[in-house]
Amino acid sequence: MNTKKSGSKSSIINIVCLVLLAVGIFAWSRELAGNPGTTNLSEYAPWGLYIALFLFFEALCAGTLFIAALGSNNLPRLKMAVIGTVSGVCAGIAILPDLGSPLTVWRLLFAPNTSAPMILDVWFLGLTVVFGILLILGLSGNKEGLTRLSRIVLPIVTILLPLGTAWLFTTLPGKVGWSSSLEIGVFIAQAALAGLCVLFILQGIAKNVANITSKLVLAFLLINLALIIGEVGQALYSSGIEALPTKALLRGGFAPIFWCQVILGVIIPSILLAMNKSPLIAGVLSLLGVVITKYLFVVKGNIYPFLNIGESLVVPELGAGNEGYLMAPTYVPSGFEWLVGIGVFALGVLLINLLLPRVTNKQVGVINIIQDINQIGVN
Amino acid sequence: MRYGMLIDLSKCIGCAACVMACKVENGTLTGVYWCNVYTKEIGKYPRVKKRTMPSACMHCTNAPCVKACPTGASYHTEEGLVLVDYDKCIGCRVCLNACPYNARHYNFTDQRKNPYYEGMEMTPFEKVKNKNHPIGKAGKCILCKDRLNDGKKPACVQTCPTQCRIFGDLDEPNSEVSIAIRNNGAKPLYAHLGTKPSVYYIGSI
Amino acid sequence: MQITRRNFLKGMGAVSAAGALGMALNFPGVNTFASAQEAGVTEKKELKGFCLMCKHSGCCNIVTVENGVVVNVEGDPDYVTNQGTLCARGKSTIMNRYNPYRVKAPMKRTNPEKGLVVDPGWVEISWDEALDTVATKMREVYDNDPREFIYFPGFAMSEFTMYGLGRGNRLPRIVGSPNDSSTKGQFCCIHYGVNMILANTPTATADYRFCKYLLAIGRGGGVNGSYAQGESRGLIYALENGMRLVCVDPHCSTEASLGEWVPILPGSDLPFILALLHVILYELDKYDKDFVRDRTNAPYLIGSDGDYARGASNKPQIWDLAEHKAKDFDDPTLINPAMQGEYQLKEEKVKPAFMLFKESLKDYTPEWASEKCTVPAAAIRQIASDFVASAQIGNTIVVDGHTFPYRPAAAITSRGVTNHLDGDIADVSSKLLNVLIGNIYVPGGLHGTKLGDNLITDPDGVVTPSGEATPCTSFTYPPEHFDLLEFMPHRHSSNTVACQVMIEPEKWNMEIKPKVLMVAGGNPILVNGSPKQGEKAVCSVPFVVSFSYHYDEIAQLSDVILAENCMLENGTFMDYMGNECSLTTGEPGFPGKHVARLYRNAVPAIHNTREANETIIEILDRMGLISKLNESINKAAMCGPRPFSSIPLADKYKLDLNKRYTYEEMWDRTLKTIYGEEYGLDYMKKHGHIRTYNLSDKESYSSYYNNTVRHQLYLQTQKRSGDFLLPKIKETGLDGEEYFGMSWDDLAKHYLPVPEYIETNLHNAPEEYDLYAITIRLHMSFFRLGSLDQNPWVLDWNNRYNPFYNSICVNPIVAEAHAFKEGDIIVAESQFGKTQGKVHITETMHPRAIAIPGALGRYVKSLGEKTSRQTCFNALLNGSLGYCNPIHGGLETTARVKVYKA
Repeated sequence: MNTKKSGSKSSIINIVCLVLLAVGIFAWSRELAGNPGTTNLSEYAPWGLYIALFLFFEALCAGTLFIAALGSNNLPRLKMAVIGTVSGVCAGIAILPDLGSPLTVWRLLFAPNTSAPMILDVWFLGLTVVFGILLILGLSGNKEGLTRLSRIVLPIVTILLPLGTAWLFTTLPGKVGWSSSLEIGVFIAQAALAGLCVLFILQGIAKNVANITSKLVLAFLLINLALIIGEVGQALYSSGIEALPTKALLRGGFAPIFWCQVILGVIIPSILLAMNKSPLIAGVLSLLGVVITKYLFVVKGNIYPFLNIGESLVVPELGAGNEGYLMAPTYVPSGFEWLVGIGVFALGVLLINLLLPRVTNKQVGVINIIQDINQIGVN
Repeated sequence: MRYGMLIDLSKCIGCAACVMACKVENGTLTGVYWCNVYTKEIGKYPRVKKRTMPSACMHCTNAPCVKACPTGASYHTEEGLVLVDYDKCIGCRVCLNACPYNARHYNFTDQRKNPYYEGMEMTPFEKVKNKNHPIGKAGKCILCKDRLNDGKKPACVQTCPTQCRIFGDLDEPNSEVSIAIRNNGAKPLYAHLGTKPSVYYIGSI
Repeated sequence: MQITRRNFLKGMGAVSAAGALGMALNFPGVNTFASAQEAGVTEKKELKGFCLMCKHSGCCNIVTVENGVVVNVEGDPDYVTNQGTLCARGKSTIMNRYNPYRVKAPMKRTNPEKGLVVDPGWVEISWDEALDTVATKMREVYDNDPREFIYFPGFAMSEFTMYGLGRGNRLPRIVGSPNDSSTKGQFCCIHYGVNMILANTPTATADYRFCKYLLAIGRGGGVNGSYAQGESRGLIYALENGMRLVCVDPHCSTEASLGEWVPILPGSDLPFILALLHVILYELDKYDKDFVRDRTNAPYLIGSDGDYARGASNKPQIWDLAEHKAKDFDDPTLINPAMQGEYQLKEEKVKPAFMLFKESLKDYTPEWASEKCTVPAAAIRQIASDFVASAQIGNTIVVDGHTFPYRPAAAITSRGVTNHLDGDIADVSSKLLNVLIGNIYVPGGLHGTKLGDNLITDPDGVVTPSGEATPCTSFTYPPEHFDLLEFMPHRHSSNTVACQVMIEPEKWNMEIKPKVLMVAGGNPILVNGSPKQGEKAVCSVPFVVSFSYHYDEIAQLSDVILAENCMLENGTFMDYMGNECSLTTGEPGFPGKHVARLYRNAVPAIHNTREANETIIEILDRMGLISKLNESINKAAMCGPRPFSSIPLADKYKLDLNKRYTYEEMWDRTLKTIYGEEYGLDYMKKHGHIRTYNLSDKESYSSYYNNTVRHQLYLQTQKRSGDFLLPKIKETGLDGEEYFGMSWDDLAKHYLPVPEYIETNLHNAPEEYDLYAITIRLHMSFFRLGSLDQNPWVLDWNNRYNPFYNSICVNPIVAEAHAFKEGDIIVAESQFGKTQGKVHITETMHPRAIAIPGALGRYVKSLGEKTSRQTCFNALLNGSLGYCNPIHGGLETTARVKVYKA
């Protein structure tokens, strides 16, 4: 492998990431300036792409660091620690453009309302990232103490992290799309799946996929499928208003995305894994499934903004609804939101690309992963 | 002391005078309505009825927005009002999600770029009132607190052509509003959510 | 553009000739107003005034001005009508002041070519130049033939106080022209029936304090208009108090939803009302027989000529069954008047009028009516039966110690009934429903807007019809009124007709041509049945001047625009005549206290605009007519002791004929004449209003003063009018169809003394136009008042939250037949025009009707892009004579349409 060549390729990736990041920051600045039409967020869809990204990165972070902390040394623990920690940072960064007044964000840390579940996110995410860094330091510097400390703390906080977020959603009164306790299970299962996918992809790149990894990914895909079927089944048998958001996913404006999630994100990778074919594609599709799941979860809470009084309500700017209940318009992120979202991803890639070679002491970066993938493709 | 309101739906005619009164009093941004009136249509021809549903912040005693607010920007006053401290608000919009009454609003756009008269500059009226609506902050009905300080009723209460709103102290058992709530068996909206609203309704919602 | 106070005052009105009318908007900045004060010091003022965001003008308000910026408008708690409340329109008026589409200075046209889509090439001119130009043109007409001056006032009252210089269109009278025509006239023809039967004006009202059964046919009782001055509150009070509200309407309105909705096919009120009369007389035989016998002309004997048979005394005769002979109607020996039968009087066979009335209704069975109006026959029977039963015939009530008959039931009608080709007959017939149950002017029953002592007994013992129902006694030919008053002596003011005639006056053999047209607070294009006809008419006048608040259609076609204040900037007076929907609200003392003279303390104007009455005085001064004006004011001041009245100024307040007075000074002297020295302008500035009456509750009911006069059940005055007029019209030799849109025989049917069903053009439309289009009132969009279609608050909220706004409403059955989905853009097309808009599918519509709610749609782009694109109901109508009611001039406001996807 020509390190010089891969080094220049790495620089190109860094430059591309920096450009995307700059574009993202520009798009963010237009949003902050209050330019009309820069976001498609509204009073009926107060949360959207950014929160979905946060949830995705959080799941990625929690799952990856959990494995990195607990895994045996024959696993790519250090790479996972880096990816997990960077995901944690990205989760935090993804939230920033969602805040109307990002300069006051310090209040979350230093002047919090401790009874708000959102503060759990702040604490757990902070702890996760801190111990993620400690783990990286421990693993890369062979500092056993740090590694052992992280091995004790990280499994706890990486479980608490998605739990805290799940509580934030499930405890909001009257948000029928979020209030099911099932969602707590979904949060944990998604985090586990995301972490396993990272491991699976890394093993795939290294061309030594452990049989157990493949089986675990398949198992968690099936668990996710079971949870989806469980939710849909409950909704279809229920006549209550709490079933409406899930029904809306099946038929409404979000239906194409829902079916995309089920087929592309769950069924196809499951089949590929069961047939032992194209493990990398299966892994990437499964991660895509997690992204879409998070997106659908965020929008689901606001499909029926009016709860019971939404029955036979007519509001022209909103759509006509299922079973006589008024629905919010289908939320699709605006171009600016996409640019900001891509910027967050670019930042993640940039950080990994910068960090991995340094901590692993060799020219390992995103570029190597891509080269490896290319080789797999060639093979 | 807990300020509260009773809205008699059998008297509401859906004229939205309260909506405009709120607009005049608070000068909210284009498209933002702290006080709103929704239209419903119930039944089939010819046995059909138009119904209206005025709605604003319920100033809940057990306010989910206050609980969910991560920085304590949402708070209760001594009079039971739920208000937002703009200095503390980080604009996370969890309160918009927390409120089951859609009473929380958010200043997404700069009024200078989206003024009342499309394509024009802000009117002098907007310039005066705009300072109360900083971009990137959550806004909501403030129960016309300045009017209360002047001994007046909230703008929506005063303007209602059918006088379907009664305002007063819920903690005072002999206030007009307390008596009317008792006598009419008035109920708040979504009592089952445990939010303990300070706004009560008479009639079917 | 840097905004300074200087350039905004000087040049705010100047707009480019490139058609960017006022688009380069600059508001005077907040700092501009504050600049006079020290920084940081807030100057706050509260001004008492009254609201005119609807035509009712019955609400007083308080305006808060902070450093020159209007920051609040709210109801005046000290005024008895609105008690501190205001409706959405009244609240939204702040935006009118800051409307960027306003005319900001006097303007003159530079492009001689006129048209709605032609750029006028506006150039800002000084007030001096504007007024001199107008005065010169008017003086030319005055010196030549003053009849060629035409004055079009209107209801657009946020922009203008009604009627130049007080009531009675003083301006054209001073100039010497008979040609004034209120632009809204064709939609405001609601007076004829109440003028004739109740001798009251402008309309018949209910009595919410006592009424227990209100049959509202094609009209709202206050709630649909969300009036804040008591009627909304009153109707709610009545409902709480157990009143049944039955709304007969093609659309289930807010009010119908509060009460009981009876869907009816548009334009078929006449058969419905006739069937109610039929059921009462033929099936129930239950009505207030004492009232009909003693208090109506029903027992009067009618000769073969259809008029009263008169005795030696020349008095109408009544057959006394006790003595088997005819007696004078007021003979004290009269014991038992005959209501049925046929009698021999001298050589003539005579019948009691009641017989003729009843016989005329014989064929109008509920089954017959049901086919036409779609209301099931059983429902018609039920309504008739409930109506009569609720009237508590024979019962009495004590109010303020005075015993009145108690008739807590009333049938009310308005534009939904009157604005049809048969609307005159339907409206009068509805009044007869009330007469039958004897509820006229008694608690719970039917009243006129004007309170107190109104009834004048004529020599025949019958109520003297007032206003527009006054029988015709003169005929001039060739006509000198552009609105053909000669042919339509009972018309309210048919501006649509005026416009049609102005285009080719020679067709009606008129000897005059329009030379100068002045428009104030009206819009002859937009409210014309045919906007093209309005445009053509205005363009046919060599010189057009308009008082304009904004660049609307009439401003677009003017030669000179006199820039007008917005409502809040207009310091002016109003003679509020009283609530039009209900006499009472349930609050004791309300009726006798709520009528008032109002004054508005003006907010300083932000543009180079003026109050219109003051401008008119200035024009008269420049014409050299100030002495004529002052003489007119001396003879008939701005108002009298009662609404709709006038008195001469007291000697000590008489105007010096050669001195110029301001509008406020004229009012000052008027009020001092009526109320005394201390109640002049200063009093009004401080208090905002002064009560016209101070009547007790019992004194508010007209029957307290006169409980002997007879009301017409047999429409003798209408017949008398026709008997005089129709031969004269025939003598002209004109062809009715060609010149009047209907044969002279068909015209004669409108002058019959008894109700009769007629087939109209509406029902004879080609079959492909299978639906009936109507317009319905929206709380924030009706009557084209208050520039509500540009108001950004109104537009924004309604577009977001009111599904009826700017839409075409159809029943799901119609939607299914045409595969419409909610929100689809569809076209409604009549024989005469079309409009398009988004469809709103609603169960609240009659399945054979569609509704285009609100008064929306524009023909110019100078009021904003959004405003110009709105769905326009008027585009479906026809403004030619065949579609105007031949009696009151009202336009047929139902159109037969077909609908399809755009």
